[in-house]
Amino acid sequence: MKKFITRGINLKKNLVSKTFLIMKLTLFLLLFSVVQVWGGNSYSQTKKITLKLNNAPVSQVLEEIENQSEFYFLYSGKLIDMNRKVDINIRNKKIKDILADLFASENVNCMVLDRQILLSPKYLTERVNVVKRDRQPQEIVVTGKVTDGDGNTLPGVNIIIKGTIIGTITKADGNYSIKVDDPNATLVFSFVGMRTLEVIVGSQTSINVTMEEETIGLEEVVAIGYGTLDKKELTTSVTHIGEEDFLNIPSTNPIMQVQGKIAGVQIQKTGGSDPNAVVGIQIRGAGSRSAGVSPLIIIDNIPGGNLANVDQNDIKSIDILKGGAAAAIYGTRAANGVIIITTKSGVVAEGIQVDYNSYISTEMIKNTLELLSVDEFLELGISADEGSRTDWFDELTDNFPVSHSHSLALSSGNQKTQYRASVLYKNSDGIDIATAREEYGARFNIHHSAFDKLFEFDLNIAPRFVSENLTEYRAFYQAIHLNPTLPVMDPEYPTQYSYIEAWDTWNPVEQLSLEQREAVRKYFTGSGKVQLNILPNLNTSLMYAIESNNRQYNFFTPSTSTNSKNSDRRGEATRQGENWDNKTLDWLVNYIYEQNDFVAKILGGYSYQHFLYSGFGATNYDFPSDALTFNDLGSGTYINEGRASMWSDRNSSTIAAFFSRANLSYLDKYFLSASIRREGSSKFGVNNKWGWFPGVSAGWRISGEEFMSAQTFFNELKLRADYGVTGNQGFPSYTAQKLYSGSGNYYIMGRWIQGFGPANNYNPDLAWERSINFNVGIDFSILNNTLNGSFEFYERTSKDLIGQYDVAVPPNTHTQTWVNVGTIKNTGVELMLNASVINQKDFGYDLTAVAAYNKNWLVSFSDDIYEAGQVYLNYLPAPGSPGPTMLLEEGSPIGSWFMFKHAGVDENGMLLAYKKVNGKFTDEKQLIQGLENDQKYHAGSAVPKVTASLNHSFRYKNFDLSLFFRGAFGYKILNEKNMYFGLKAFKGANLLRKAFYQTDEGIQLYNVNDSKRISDFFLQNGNWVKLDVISLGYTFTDVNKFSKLKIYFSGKNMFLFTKYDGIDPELAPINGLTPGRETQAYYPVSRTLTLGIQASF
Amino acid sequence: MKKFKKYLYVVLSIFFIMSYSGCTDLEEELYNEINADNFYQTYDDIAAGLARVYEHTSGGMRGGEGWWKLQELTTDNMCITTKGRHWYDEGKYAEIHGHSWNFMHGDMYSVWSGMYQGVGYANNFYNDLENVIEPKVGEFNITEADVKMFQAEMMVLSAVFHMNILEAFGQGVIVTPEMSGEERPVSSSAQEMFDFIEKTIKDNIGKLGNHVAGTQDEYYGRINQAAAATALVRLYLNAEVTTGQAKFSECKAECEKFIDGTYGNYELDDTWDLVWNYNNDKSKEIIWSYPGELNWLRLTYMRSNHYQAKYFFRSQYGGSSNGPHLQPSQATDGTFFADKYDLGSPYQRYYDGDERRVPMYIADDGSRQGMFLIGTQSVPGATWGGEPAFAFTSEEWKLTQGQDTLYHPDRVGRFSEIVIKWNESGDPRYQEIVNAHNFKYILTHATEEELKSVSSDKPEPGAGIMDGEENTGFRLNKYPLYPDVFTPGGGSWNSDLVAMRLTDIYYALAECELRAGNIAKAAELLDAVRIRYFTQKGADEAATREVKFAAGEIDDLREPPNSWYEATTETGNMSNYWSKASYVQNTGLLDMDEMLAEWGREYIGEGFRRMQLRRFGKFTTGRWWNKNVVTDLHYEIFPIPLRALNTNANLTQNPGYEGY
Repeated sequence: MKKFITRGINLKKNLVSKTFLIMKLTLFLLLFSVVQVWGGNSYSQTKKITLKLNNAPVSQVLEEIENQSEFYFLYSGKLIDMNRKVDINIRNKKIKDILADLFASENVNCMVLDRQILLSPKYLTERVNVVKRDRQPQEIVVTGKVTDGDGNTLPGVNIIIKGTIIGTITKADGNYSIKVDDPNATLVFSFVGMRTLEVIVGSQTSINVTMEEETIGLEEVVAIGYGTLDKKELTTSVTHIGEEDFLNIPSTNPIMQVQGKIAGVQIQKTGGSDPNAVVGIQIRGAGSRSAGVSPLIIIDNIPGGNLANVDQNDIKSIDILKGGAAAAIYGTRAANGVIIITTKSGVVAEGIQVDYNSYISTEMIKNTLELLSVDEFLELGISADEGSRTDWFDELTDNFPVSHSHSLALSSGNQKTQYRASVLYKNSDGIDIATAREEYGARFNIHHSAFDKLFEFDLNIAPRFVSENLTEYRAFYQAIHLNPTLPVMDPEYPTQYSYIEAWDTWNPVEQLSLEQREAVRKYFTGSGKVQLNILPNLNTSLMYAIESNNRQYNFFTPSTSTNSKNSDRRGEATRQGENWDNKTLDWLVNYIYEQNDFVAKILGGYSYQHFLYSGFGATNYDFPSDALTFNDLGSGTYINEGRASMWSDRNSSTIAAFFSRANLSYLDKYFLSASIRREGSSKFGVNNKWGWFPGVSAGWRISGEEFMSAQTFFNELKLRADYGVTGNQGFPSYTAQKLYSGSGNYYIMGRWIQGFGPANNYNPDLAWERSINFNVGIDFSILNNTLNGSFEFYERTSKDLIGQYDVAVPPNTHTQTWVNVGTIKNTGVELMLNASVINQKDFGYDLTAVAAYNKNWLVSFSDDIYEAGQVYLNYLPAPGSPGPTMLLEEGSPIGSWFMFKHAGVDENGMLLAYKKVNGKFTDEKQLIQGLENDQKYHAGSAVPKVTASLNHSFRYKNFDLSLFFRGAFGYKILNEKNMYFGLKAFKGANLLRKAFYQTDEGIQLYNVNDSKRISDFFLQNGNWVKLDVISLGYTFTDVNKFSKLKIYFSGKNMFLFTKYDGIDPELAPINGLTPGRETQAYYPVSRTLTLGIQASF
Repeated sequence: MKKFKKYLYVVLSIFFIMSYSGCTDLEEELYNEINADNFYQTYDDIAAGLARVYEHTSGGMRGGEGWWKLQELTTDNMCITTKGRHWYDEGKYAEIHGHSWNFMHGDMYSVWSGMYQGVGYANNFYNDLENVIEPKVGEFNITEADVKMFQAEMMVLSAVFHMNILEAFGQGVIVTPEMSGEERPVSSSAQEMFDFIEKTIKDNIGKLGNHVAGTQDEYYGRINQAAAATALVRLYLNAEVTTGQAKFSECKAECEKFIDGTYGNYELDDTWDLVWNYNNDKSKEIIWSYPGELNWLRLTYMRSNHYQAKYFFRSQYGGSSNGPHLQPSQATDGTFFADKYDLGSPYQRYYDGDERRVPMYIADDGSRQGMFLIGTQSVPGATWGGEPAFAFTSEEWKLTQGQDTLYHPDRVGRFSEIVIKWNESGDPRYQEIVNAHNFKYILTHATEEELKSVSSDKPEPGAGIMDGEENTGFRLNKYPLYPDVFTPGGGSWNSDLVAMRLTDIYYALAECELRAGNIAKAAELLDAVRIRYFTQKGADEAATREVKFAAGEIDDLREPPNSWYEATTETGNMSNYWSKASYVQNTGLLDMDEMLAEWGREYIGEGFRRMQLRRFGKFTTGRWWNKNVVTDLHYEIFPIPLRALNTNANLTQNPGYEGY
C-alpha cells in the first residue's frame, strides 16, 4: 500500500487498495518521500528477505517484498506478465537473488538502484543497448532540481527517459541525477497532482524544473467530515483549498489566508487593522435570527475547534462544506456550513526535515478622516481657543509599528512512526498606542502503526499562549469630536494628562495610556486516536479529544485617570477568568465493499461531546496605590463599603449523535452518497431532544461516458445535485428549562432578602433550527485542462428559526419566549474559475476568478401562535439615539435599510423627505422632523449582492508575482460618521470638514442645519474593489543544503477603489443580522507591508 | 472471515453498550440556575418568593419609569426637554408632552407589560402557595393562616396592578391565578375591571395584617389592611373617569372609615419633609412604602438631576442623567406663562412662605430645606472632595468657556446660542460673560429681542420641548441626596419610596367634600396637611425676595411674586404668609381649580398628575406651556400597545387608536 506511486505506473489498479490509499493519501504522499535513496548502495546489498508463497501471482510476490522492505518496483503491467503464478520459498535472501529466481524463465531485466527496482522486458534494454552501440553514445550525466510553483522542493518525482523505462526519482532535497546517452532524449517528469512535464536534454547537463500543479483539480483529496473523498467522487458542494493557495499575509486568524478565495464564504474583520480583532465568517448568507450565523469549525476531526489555536504554517488544507448533504453529517450544528481544517503531519525521512517561516511586517495608516483644521475650527466659532494645537488622531497612533513572526517545524519518521513538531513565536504591534499581541504556540503530532499495521495510533497536542493588550475603539470616536486646541498634557502639570470633562467627552490619549486592558489567553488541544484495521476493507477507530480555552481579562484605571476623577474613586480594577472546556469522543467504523466496477464506502459512527463553561470575575475600587494595578484586588476599600462586585457562572451542554454514510460509485461515472445523523442535544426542550438529519447527493461524470470520448473539448465534466437537512442549535444552555432566578432584594419581615421567581416562560418544545439545503453544481475542465472550474446554484430554507418572540402578557410573566418560528431563505449562484493562461518553462500566468451572488429574504416570521409582525433593528446610538435603521418584515431581505427618502433641505437647512401617499412616493417634500414610520421605505440592502475576487499569478524564472483583487457590489452603507460628525447642527464639537465645506469628493453636507434624521441621505453606495494583496517572491535554486529557499515581499490592503466616502467600506459589517454601519467608534485601517522568508532543509 | 466475525461482534457489542448507557443521556446539568420544580426547600425560600413579587411591585408600580413618564410627562407639571444632542430618543418625550402618541410608544408597552408581569408574579406565587407550600406547611415552619395572608396580599397586589391598567388604558384584561400561559384572554370593559378590582380588595382586606404606623413591624413594606383601603379610595375617587359611574360617596365613606382609625393609628407628620427623608420609616403618615437602603434596594425614582449635581450635594450619588424637570414658568424673555394659562407653571404656583419654594439645600447634618434645585447651584462654604463645592454646567456653553457654575433657569430655551452670537459679532458682552462665568449673565444682560430670538416655537416667546439645554429647568428632589459626610442612620438612598400615605385619604376626602359643596370641611382637611409647609425658612425666603424685588434686584429667577397672589409687605412673619394661604381663613380661595392646583403642589412628581387632570376634566382640554390647544379627546386614555395587540388577537383597541 505504501508504494502508491509505483502503482501509478502499474496500470492495473486494485480498487480496494486504491480506496484506502485515497483515504490516506496525505500519509502516502509523505510516506513516499521515504522511499528516497538516502544512503549509498548498501541497502540492496545488505537487506535480506524471507518469503513463502504458494501459487501466488508475481504481483503478490512483489507486493510482499515491498511490504517487508523499503524496495519498490517500477514496471509496466502491459510489458511484464504479473499474473503468472509461482511458488516461492526463500529465507534470508538478497533481493538480487530473489529476482533472479523469480524471473529466471522470463525475459525480464531487473535493474536494482538501491531501493528502486526497475523491471523491463529484456528486448527493450537490448534495443537501448543496440542504439548505444550504433551511435557510439556519449553518456551525459544530467543533474538538476525539481520544485513546485511556490519553490518547495519536490522529492519523489519520477524522471524517465521518454520511450524507455530508464528513470530515476528525485531525492528529498529535490535533486536528481540521471545518465542520458542521447542528446535528443526527452526527460519526462511526473508526479501525482502535478502536470507532467517533458524537457529535451539537448546540450544541457543541468535541468532545473518547476512543476505546475495539475489545475484540473479533480485529483484533489477532499475532507468531507469523518473521512475524505477524491474530488472526482464528490457529489456535494465542498471547496478545497490547499496551503499553496493561501495568501502570504500576516494575520491572527488563519482563515484570513483564504479571505475572498471561496465563492459564497464571507470572511470579514471589521476591526480595521487591530491584531486582536475577531474575524467573522458567514457561508451563503445569514440563515438565522438569534442562533448565530457562524459555521461549525472542525480542526483535525474535533468539532467546535478554535481557529485562534492554529498557526497558518501548520495548516495543510481547508475544506469548506457548503452543501447541505455534506454538512448533514454534522447534524444540529451544520446549518451555517462546516469548515474543516487539516493540519500537517509527519513525513518519513531518514534525517529531519526542517521548515522555517518568518516574516517582519509594518503598517501605515490609510484613509483618515478629513476634519476641520484648527483655523477653520476657530473661525467657525465652534469653541474657544484653548491654546494648544493637537491632532488627536495622530496622538493616538504610531505609524510603522513592527510585527514579526517565526515558525519552525521539524518532521521526520520511519515506516512505522512519523512525527511533526512545530513552534511559533509571533509579536504584533498595533497601529495605535495601546494595542499589542504576543503569541507562543506549538503543535505536535505523532503517528505510529503497530503489529503489521493492525493498529494505528495518533496523538496530537497543541498548546498556545497569547497575551493581548487591548485598545478601546471609542478613543478614536473622541479623536473626531474633541476640540483640537485642547492640550494632551496639562499645561500646569506637564507630567499629567489634561483633564477634559464634559458629558461623553474625555482625553483619549490618557485613556489609551493610563487604562490597562489586557487579556491572556491559553489554548490547549489534545487528542488521541486508535485505529484497528480489522480487514483490508474494514477498520474502526476511537478518538478522544480535549479542548480547553482560557481567557484571563484584566482591567485597571489609575487614580489619576479621568474615569477615576469623574467617579471620585482612587482607581478601578477588574479581573475576570473564563474557561471553555470541551471533550469529544468519536467512534467510527469504515467498511468498503467492492465488486466489479461498483464500490461502496460505508461509514458508521457515534459522537459524544460535552461542553463546560465557567467564569469568575470581580471589580473593586479605591486602591492604596496605583502601583498595584489589578494585582491586589482585595486591597481596594470599595469593598469595605459593601460595594465591590463579583460574579461567577457555570453552564454545560451535551451533544450525542449516531450517524452513518454510504458513498457509492459505479464505473467511476455514477456516484451516489447518502447519510443520516440522529442527534440530540441537552439544550433542547424535553419534548424535542432528538432529531434526524438526512443528506443525499448524486453525481454523474459525463466525461467518463463513451459518447464523450470522441470529443476533446471537455477533459472533465460532472453534474451533481444534493439535498440535505442541517440544524442550528446556537442558543444558550438552560433556555428550554423552567427556571426560577433571583431578582432584586426586598425587605421582608425584618431582613433584606433576594426575591426568587419565574426566570422565563417555559417552552419544553424548544428545538434546533432546520435548514433544508438544495444544491446543483457543474464541475468542468476544458481546453486541455487549461481552464477548469465549477458553477453552483443553491437554495437554503432555514425553518423553525429560534427566536425570542413576543408572547401575550398577560398571562405570561415574561414578554418573550424562546420558540421555533419563522423561515429565512437564501438562494444564490457561485462561480469559481481557474485558468492556466500561459504555462511555459520560464514563464507562467494563472488566473483565478471567484464570484458569488446571494439573495436572501425573510419568508415568514409567524405561525399560528407566535407573530413577530415587524422587527426594527440596528438602532443608532446616543448622542441623539435617532432610532432604528432597519426593518425586518416578511418578504424583506435581512439587512434591509428602512428610512425616509431624502428630498434635499429647505431654506433653513432642515432635512426634507418625499411624502408617501398610499404607499407611494409623491413629488411633494416635507420636513423629516416629526414624521412617522409610515413615511419610510426599504432603501436598499446592507448586504452585498455580489462578492468577487480575481487572482493573477505570474511566474518568471525564479520570480513569482501575484495580484489579488477583491470586491463587493450592490449594497449600501450607512456612513454614521457623516451623520454624527458631518452635520453642523452638532454643536460645540469638532466635525468633519464636509460639514461646512464642499470637499472635492464625497457628499455635500455643508448646507444641512438639521440634527441627524434617519434618511437615505446618509446611505452610500458600497461598491468597492480592492487590490488587496500583492506578493512578489524569489526562489533561490542551488543553494547549499536548502531544499527550498524563498523570500517574498507582500502588501495587504494596498489600494481601494470606491466612491464610498467613509474610511473603508470594510469597516461596515456585511455578516449577521445588523450589517451595514460604519460606526463612530472604530479602529484605524492600515496598509501592511511584509518581508518574509521560507526555508526548508 | 472468522476473524472478521469476531471483530464484528466486538464492534456490535460496544455499539449496544453505548446506546444503552450514559452515552445518550441528554439531561441538562444545572450549575448556576435553579429549576422551578425544586425551588422551595426552606422558609427562607418562601420569603424569597414573596420578595420577588414585592421587588417587582416597587420597580414596576410607582417608581417604574414608564408609569411615571406617562403620568407626569403628559401633564402640566413635568417634562423632558431635548437637551442639545441628548434626550431626543426618537422624539418620544416630545410625543407624550404634545399629546400625539400612538400605539407604538415604548413606554405604553412597558406599563402594560410591567403591570401584567406583576400580576403574573403575584398569581404565580399565589399558585405556589396553594400547590407547593400549603400541602407541606409543617415542613416549612409556616402556619396555614400565614399562607392565606400571603395569598390575600397577592390578590390585593394583583388588584392594584389591574387598577393601574384601568387608569392608563381605560380597559384591560382580567387575569386570575387559574389562567394558563397558553390562554389569550379577551378584553374586559372598564366596568368589569372595576368590579374585579373592587371585589378582590373587599374579599381579601380582612385577611391582611395590620401595620403599626411608623414602625418596622412584619407588615412594614407589605400590603396591609390600610393599604388595601387606600387602594379602594383611589379606585372610587377615579371611578367617574374610569367607568363613567361616580363613586364619590363610596370614596367619602372609605376615607372617613380610615380617618376614624379602622385600619390603624396613622397620623399626619408635624414636619413636611419627614415623609421623604432618610428616616421616613418613622413617619406615621406612611401607609405603604417600598423600603429603601443603600446597596439593597435603590429606588431610582427619577433621573432628574444634572450630571454635576453631585458637587452641589457633596455626594457621589448626586449626579444623574439629567432628564426630567419642572415645566417652565417663564418664556425665554421672562414673561410669565401663569398669566396666560391656568395650568402649568408648577413652581410659581407655590404660595409665598411655603418652604418647598426655598432653594433646596441639604446640610451636612442631613437637615434640609426646599424641594427644588433652582437657580445657582453653588453653596458658599461647602466643600466636596476638598474642593469648593459647586456644580458646573456643560454642553456648548461650557465647551466654550470652561467651567461655569451650574444655573437652573425656570425657562426653556437655547440661551447659549446668544453667547455664540455675541462672540461672532464681537459684542463686548462676550468678554464680560467669559469673566463672569455665570449663565445668569445671559438672562440679565441680553435684550428682550435677543431672549425672544432663541425661541423656536413661534406663536409665543417660549421655546419648545426640543429646545432644552443641559441646565434647563428646575429640578424636583422630594427624596434628598445626602452629603457623603452624613451617614448616621443611613443617608442617600435610605429613604423609603412612598406608595401610599395618609395625605391621600385627606385630599381624596377633601375633594369629595368639595364636590358635595362642603367647602369648609374640605378647607379644614387640606389645611391640616398644608400648615406645616409655612415655616420660618419659607417666610425668610419670601421676605428676602421681596426686599430684593423692592430694590429692583433680580435674584435668580424668583422674580416678582405671581400676579394672582397679592404681595405682602409684612415680611418675615410666618403667620402672615399662612394667613394668606390658608383655605380656612380664605374660603374664597378654594374652588375646583384651586383643588386641582393643590393636588399638583402636594403630589408633584408622584405619578398621579394625569389622573388628577382627568378628574377635573383638564387633561385634554386644559392649556399649559407648549400645549396651547385642546388635544383630541381620545388621548384621555392610552392605546392598547402594538406589541400587546400583536401577541393577543383577542384584545380590543381603544377608540381613536384603530390602526395606529
